[in-house]
Amino acid sequence: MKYPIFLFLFSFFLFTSCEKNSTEEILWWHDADVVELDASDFELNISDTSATGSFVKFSFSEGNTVTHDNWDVAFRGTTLIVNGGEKAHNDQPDRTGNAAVYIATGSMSAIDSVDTTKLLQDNSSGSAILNNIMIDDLGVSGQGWASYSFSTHLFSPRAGRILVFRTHDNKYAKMQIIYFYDSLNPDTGSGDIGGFYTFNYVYQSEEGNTMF
Amino acid sequence: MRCLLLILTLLFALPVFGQSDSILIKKKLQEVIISATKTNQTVNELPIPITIISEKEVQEFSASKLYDVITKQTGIVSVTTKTGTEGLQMQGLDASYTTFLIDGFPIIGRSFGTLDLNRISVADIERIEVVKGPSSSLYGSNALGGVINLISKKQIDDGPIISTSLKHATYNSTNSSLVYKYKEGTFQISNSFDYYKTDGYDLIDTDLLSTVNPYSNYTFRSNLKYVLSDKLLLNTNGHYYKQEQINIAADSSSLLKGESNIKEWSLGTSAKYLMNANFFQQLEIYKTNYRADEFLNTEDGVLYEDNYFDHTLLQSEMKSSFTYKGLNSILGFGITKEELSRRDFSNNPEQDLKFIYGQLDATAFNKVNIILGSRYDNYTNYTPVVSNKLALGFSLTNKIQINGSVGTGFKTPDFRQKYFDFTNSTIGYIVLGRDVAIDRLDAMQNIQEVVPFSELSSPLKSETSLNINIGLKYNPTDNLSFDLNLFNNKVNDLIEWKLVAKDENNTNIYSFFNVNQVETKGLEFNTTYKKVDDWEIKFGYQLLYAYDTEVVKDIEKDDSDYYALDTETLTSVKLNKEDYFGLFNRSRQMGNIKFNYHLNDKTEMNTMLTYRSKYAISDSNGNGILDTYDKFIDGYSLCDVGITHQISLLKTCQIGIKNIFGFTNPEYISNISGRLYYMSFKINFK
Repeated sequence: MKYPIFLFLFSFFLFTSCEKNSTEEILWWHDADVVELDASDFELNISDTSATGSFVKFSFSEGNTVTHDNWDVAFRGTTLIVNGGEKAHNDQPDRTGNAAVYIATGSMSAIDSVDTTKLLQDNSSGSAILNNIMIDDLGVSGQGWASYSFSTHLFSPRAGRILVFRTHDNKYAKMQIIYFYDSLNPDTGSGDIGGFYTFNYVYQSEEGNTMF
Repeated sequence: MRCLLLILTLLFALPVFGQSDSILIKKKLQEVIISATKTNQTVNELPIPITIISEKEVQEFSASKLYDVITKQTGIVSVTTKTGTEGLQMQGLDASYTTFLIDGFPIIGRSFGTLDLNRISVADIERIEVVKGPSSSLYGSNALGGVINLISKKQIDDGPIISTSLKHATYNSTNSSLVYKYKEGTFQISNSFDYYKTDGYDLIDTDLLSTVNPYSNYTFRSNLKYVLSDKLLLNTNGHYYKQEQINIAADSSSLLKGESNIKEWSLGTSAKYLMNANFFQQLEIYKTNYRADEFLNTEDGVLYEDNYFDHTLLQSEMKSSFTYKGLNSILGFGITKEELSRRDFSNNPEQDLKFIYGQLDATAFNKVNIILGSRYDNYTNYTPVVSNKLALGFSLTNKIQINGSVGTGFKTPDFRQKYFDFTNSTIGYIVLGRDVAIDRLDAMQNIQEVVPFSELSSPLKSETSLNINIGLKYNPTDNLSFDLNLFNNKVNDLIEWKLVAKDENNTNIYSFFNVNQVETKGLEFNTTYKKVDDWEIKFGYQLLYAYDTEVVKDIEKDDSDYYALDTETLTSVKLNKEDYFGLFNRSRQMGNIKFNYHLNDKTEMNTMLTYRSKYAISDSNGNGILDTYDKFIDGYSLCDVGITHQISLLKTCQIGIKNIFGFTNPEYISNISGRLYYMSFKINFK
């Protein structure tokens, strides 16, 4: 009775060979066109959900983080602020420019112009971009640029959410946030709190031109 | 898919090899099932998908708990749900949609809707009946996906029987059982005691925690049968279960230690009055309680956190059965009363239910089988629900049978969805049950409304379902069988939590809503070829598509909100229907092959391979759905090998290896422990 054993082993082989090899993970965020930025210096105060830490300022015209006042957008943990309007808390940098922002839905290339009527500046009650991105598991409310998962406790930037900016000096830029962690397999259990931004952007250096 | 076709071709070709030397056994075993109709019925006559797991199958790999047995069945998989608890998925349906019974009495103690199958001992189980498809028309809420009924062993001969077993396995796991049965004429008693202890295991060495902490549990079951007269039968069932587990967790800086304990008991009694050969009446009263307590202390011994869960069910049911020629009917009615007391609940909720059901099954012209059933459930605080079922079977020839069934089912909102009042201080959010949400929100200051609060004023609706099964059974010879079943389940008004408001500190407040509709459809295929006393091969396969119908609808729209990041080009891609993989935790394909080989008339070897294709437990790219751009958990295979040797008529020993390849996935799969060796002895005394 050799047949059954042979058949079994053969189908066994088939089953196991059906499994795909796990795809090699590509370190895609190290691409040159992409900006990486460490804004992980923040701590959340549980009792009143206020955060402390320092903001990392970014300038679109310089394409880099800056420490001077001519910044356009600044990051701290999950909070994004723009250099325009009023500050909501004393620990935020002063607003010296005319920057504003809104979130558009579409792919980076599909967002080819700025709808200036949608632009909002920060005000004393909060930032123009919801600073609390804990929308929900299903993404039903869908207002933010990221979603939070209650099962993994991780924040994921939402694809198709493009942040459209007016810079501090009335130029325009669009940005897509790609990643929020410095590890490819972030694990909140082992201390991955996030705040490591990876994003790409397009900057329109001609003043007043709303087309990208 | 290609390899699947190969396997299928292979298996269809199999009988050609085997037939020439097979001995035809004319006498066919008439398997009997009770769960499908609440009366004893032969399986072949029922036009609905049924699987019977025999005692032999339960014993094959020296199973200790229901988990070990049931997860080997085609299309049944144990999954970790969104809330972190583990439960059973059948036909791609959620773990809360299957009802579990022992000798017909329901098992309670569900955590977030799921039942821990490692709690249920199979020490004294004669068979396990699995009814797939809607069973609400007989069993009410929670049975919309099916019913799993464990039937305890009956004794036929007079006198005592003592069965003992001892098993030892990797991770210092020990399982011992003692069953004492005694029968004298009209009186029968059965007591079983089962003890299980394990050191648990750890898949991740780098942290201080274990994947499964050490635990031990014991189960005591008792059954008493007494035939008072040839008309009156009394039956009493009772059980007690206790589990103790070490509970260890980590705070941001220190280790927390405590215990996690479960106590469970039940007592049920029934009286059956046989008026004549065609008519009987039965009265049942059943009470069961499940209590879980857990606590964690800091290193200094100060209480850090404690938690409890206490659920009681009281059920009383009266049923009458009438049989005439090919016609069986059952009519029943009853009441149940449920109580729950739990931490994070605003009150101790109660739920009362009155129900009445009737089912008719008939065989006509030896060719047509029909089941017609209906049940009416009247809850104190919901609108009444009617569940219906119609099943039809035709025997085309004595080898081919076509079955079709359609049914409706429901699941009432659970206590958590109604009365939860939970604040997570670590991440900072609040979850409120629907019935308490309005009052709590009104009492809060400076609330920012996300969903109009008027939407919270109406009570939650039950989740309802429409299920269709179409099956084909083909038995070309007595040794060979093919069984194909196509299924389609639509579940409406699924209850999910949704953001309703933000408080003055921007803390999110969630409550429960009837939101979406899901659909699961696919096919299940099983085939068996048996060469009596020589070898047997079984193959099972399930193909499954499960998705949210709203997502399917929305994703096709031009202004759809569903995008994903293409990680190679770093651009956002608008998703289309083909990119939507479906619901979380569902594998497109699952399969198993089992091979049983008789080395000689006393020794047999069993080998089993189960396969599950890739799936994902959560969204990794922030669009809320599972799409082809998401990170998946790779598919995997598990293989078990076991040898059973009959030392003498009353002595058996078993030895084997589970998960022979030692597959683990520490990151995503915590319930697969790695390679496991076991050895067991069974000795019976007469």
